[in-house]
Amino acid sequence: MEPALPPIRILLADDHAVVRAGIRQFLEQADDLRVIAEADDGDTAKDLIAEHLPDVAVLDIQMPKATGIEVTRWIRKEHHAVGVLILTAFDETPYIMAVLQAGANGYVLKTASPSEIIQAVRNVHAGNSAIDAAILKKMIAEMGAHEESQPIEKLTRREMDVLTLVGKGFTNKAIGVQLGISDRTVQGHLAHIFDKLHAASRTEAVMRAVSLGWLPPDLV
Amino acid sequence: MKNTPPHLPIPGSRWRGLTFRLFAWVIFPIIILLFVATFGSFALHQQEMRAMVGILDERAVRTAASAISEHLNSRAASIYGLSLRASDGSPADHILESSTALKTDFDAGLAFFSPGGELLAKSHWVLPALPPILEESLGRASTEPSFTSFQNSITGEHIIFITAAESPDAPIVVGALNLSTAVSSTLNESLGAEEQITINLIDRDGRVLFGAKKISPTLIDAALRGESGSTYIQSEDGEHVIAYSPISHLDWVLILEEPWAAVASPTLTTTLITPLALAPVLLLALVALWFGARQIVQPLQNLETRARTLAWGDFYTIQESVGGIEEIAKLQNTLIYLAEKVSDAQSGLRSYIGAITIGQEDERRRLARDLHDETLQSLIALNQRVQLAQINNKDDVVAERLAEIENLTGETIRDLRRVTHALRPLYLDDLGLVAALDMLAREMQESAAISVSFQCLGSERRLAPETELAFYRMAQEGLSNVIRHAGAEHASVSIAFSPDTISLSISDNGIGFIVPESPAEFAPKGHFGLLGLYERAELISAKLDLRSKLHQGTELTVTLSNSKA
Repeated sequence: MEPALPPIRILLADDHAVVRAGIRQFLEQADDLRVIAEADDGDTAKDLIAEHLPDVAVLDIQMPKATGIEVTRWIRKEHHAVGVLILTAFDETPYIMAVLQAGANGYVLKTASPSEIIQAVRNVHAGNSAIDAAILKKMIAEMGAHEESQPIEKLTRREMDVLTLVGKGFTNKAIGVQLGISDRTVQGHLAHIFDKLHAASRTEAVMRAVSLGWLPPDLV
Repeated sequence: MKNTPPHLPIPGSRWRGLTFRLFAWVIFPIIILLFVATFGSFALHQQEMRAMVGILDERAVRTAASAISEHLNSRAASIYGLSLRASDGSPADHILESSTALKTDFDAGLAFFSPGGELLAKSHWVLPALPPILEESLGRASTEPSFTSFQNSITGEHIIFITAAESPDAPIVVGALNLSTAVSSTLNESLGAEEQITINLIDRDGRVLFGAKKISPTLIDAALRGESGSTYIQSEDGEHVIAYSPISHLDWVLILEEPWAAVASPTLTTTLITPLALAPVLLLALVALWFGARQIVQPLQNLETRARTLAWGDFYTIQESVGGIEEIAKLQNTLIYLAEKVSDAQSGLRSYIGAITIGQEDERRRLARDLHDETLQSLIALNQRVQLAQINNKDDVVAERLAEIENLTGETIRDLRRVTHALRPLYLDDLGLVAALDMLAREMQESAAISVSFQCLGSERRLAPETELAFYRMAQEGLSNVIRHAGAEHASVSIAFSPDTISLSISDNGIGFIVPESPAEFAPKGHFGLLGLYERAELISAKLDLRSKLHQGTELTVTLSNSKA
C-alpha cells in the first residue's frame, strides 16, 4: 500500500462497547485504516453505512435489532461496493457458512491478532476474500471428511473460471460481465458446479475446490 | 405414537380360547361317552340276546328230539309186544285182528314174517312190494326193535320200519309208519306252530328225512356225535339261528332253523337307531358353543384388541362398544374408566415433563447467551488489551508474562466456547434447524468413527423455537443412539419440508434391534434414549415411527403436521 493512497474508511459495528473499543485500537495501529463510524446495533450500522458509504464494514454477528448477517445481506443489496468483514466470537461452521452465503467478503475471529485483523480489512478492500486461518483449516477438514464416499467429477475450464470468481466474492452479474456471458449462463454453470462438487452453496463449492487443491487457499 | 398396534400372538393362544376349550373338554368328550355307552350297551344286549336265543332254540330242539325218540320208542315197544305174542304161537292173523287199535299208530301197515322172510300176514300194508332194505333188516331182526327208513320212490314219502323178533326162529314183526305224520304231530306238540321255523330231520348219511333245507355236514357230524348246540349262519335272506340235536337210539339229527329277524323283535331293531336321540343333544351343545363364541369370546377378543391400543396412547378406540353379555360391557366400562384415569394422569405428567423440559432448555439457552454475550466478550476484551499491551511493550520479561496471559486467555476462550456450545448451539436460534442439523451431522462424524450424511429436502421454514429445539434434540439423541448401540458404519440424517408436514429421519446400516410393541416397554427394556425421543415427539404432538430389523439397520422418523407446527 502506498501512503499516497487515501486511507481505507471503516465502519465498525459491535454491541459490546469494550470489545468495540479494542477493535478500533487494533485497526488504528495501521496508518492506512481509519474508523469513520461506530454502531452498537444492526439498524444504526445500516444508517451509518448509507450515510458514510465506508470502504469496509467490520460487523459483529450477534447484534440487537439486526444481526451482522442481515446487515451483510442488506449491504449486498443496497450498497454492493461496501466490503464486508465479519469479526465475531463465533467459530462454528454454520455461522461462517451463513455469513459467506449472505455475501460477506471475510470472516475473522475476534481472538485474532491485530495484524491479522488489519490484513483481513486490507484484503477485503482489495476485493479478495479474507478467512481466518484457523477457520479455513477447520472448514477444509470438515469438507474433506465428506468426500470419501462421493466421487468428484472434474470441472470444465469455464466452470473453473466461474468458481474462481465466486471465490473472490463476485455476484453472478459481476462474473457474467467479467467473462462476457449472461448472468443466467453463470447460474447454469454454478448449478453444474454444485452438482459435481456435491455442494449446497457458493462458499461450500469454493471450500471444496480448495480442499481438493483445485483453487489456491489464499484465494479465499 | 404408532396408531396401529401390531398384532402380537401369545404362544399357544389359538388353543386356549373359550370356544375351543368348551368343545375339547366338555362337548366332545360327552359326545364320545354317549356314543360309547349307547353302542356298547346295544352290542352287549344283542350279544346276550343271541346267546339266549341260541340256548332256547337248542333246548327246544332237544325237547323235540327227545319227544320224537320217545314217540318212536313207544311204537317200538308196541312192536316188541306183538313179537312176544307171535312167539307164543298165536297165529299172526289173530294177533292182527286183535290189534286194530295199533292201526292208527302204524299208519303204513303191520306185517308178520317168518324167520325165512316169508310174509305170514299183513294189515293195511300200503307198499306194493317189499323194499330191499326191509329184507335186509329182516335178517338182522332181534329182540331189540330196530329202525329202518325207506323213501317211497313213487310218493316220495319216508316210511319207517320197526322190526322185532322174540327169538331167531320166532316170527318177525314189522310196523311201518309215515315219518312225516309221526314227526309233524310230535313236533307240533313240542314246538307249537311257528311259521318262520324250519325243521329238518336228517339221517346219518345226510339224507333229508323231513323238511327240505340243505344243512352243513359239519353240523350233522357234530349232532351225530351226540352233541347238541346252536350257531348262527349268514344266508342271502339274512342271519339265521340254527339249533341241532341228535335223536337218541336213532342216528338222526333234528335241526331247527329260524331267521334272526323273526327272533329279534321290532323293538330290538329300533334300538339300533336310538343313538339318533343324541342328535338334539349335539345340536344343543353346538348352539351353546355358538352363543359362547358370539356373545362372550368375540366381544372379549375385540375388547382385548382395543385395550391394546391403550399402550400406544390411543384412549378413544376403547370406547367403541364391543357388544356381548352384560359382564363384558361392565368390564369395558371399567377399562374405559381406567383409560380416562391413565389419560388424565398421562397428560398431567406430560405437561409437567414438558414444563420441566422447557424450563431446562430456557435455562440452558439463557446461560449460553450470557456466557457468550458477557463472559466471552469480556475475555475477548481482555485478550485485546493484552495484545495491545504487547505491541507497546519493549521489556522482554513483561513480554513473556503478557504472552503467558494471552495463552491463558485463549485457552479460557476455547473452553468457554465448548461449554456454551454444549449447553445449546446458539446457531439453532440464529440460523435455523437446517444449519444446526448439518452441523450436528458434521460434529457427530468428527467425534465418532462413522460417516454421517445430511440432506435437506424442500425449502426450509422457520418453526417455533421449542419445535426446532425438539427436532434438534431428537436428531442428537437419535444419532448418539446410533453411535452407541447400532454398530453402524454409516448414518444419515435428513429433514424434509413438504407443504403439509415436516419430517426428520435418522437411519443407519447397523445391527438393528427388536422394536418394542409399545412405548411403555421402552424403559423396562432399557431403551431410555427411545423413551426420551418418544416423550420429545409427544411434547410437540409429532408422530414417532421406529422401524428396525435385526442386521438390517434402523430408521427413525419424526413427522410433524403443519397444522401442529
